[in-house]
Amino acid sequence: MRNRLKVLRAEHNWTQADLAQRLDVSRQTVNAIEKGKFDPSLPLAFRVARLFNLKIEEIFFDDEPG
Amino acid sequence: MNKWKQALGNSCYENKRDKRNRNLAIGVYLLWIAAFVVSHLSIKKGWILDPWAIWALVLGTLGLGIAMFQTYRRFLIHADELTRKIELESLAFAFGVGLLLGVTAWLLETAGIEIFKSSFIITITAMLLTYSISLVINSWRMQ
Repeated sequence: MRNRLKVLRAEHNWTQADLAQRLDVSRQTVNAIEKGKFDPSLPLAFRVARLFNLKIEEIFFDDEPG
Repeated sequence: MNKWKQALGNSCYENKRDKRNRNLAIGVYLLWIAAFVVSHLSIKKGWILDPWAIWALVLGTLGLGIAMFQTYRRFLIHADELTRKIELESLAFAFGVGLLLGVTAWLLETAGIEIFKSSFIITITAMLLTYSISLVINSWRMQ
């Protein structure tokens, strides 16, 4: 699953550690999500969406066609 | 190189709560191992002969085992979700390897072919080694 987390974080001038603290996860979790190595759980995806005041589908994109 | 260093240092546990819960789980695990070794030696070497004392040793070790299980479960429930994923994948892999090696060693024992001293010991050793190696590899993969 692809995502815009890195771009959104950069827009807010936050480090991975800043974002991790705001989401109550480890910095490694933020790093793994940004690199697409780890898909967040639905509750975490909602937390991310709330934090950036966006919809989940505006941050995370399904790789599968159609 | 840095990725390996971080993986070996289990840097996914940088969260204070995870570190505290993991350290508690490791502490109780070490206590359980110590209790197991003391109980095993006491019974095997005949240091303790009273049946009630033997029961107390066995039940004490069992109690510590249950405490270990509970502290590890608590660690997993409250852990950061990447940490939980790494732990669960490592546990699953270790369980699979331990089961396969244990059953194979047991079959060989049944056939009278003794490669390993005991299928129980090989199962436990394989599980612990696989779990430890999987933790490092999975942590590295997620860097």
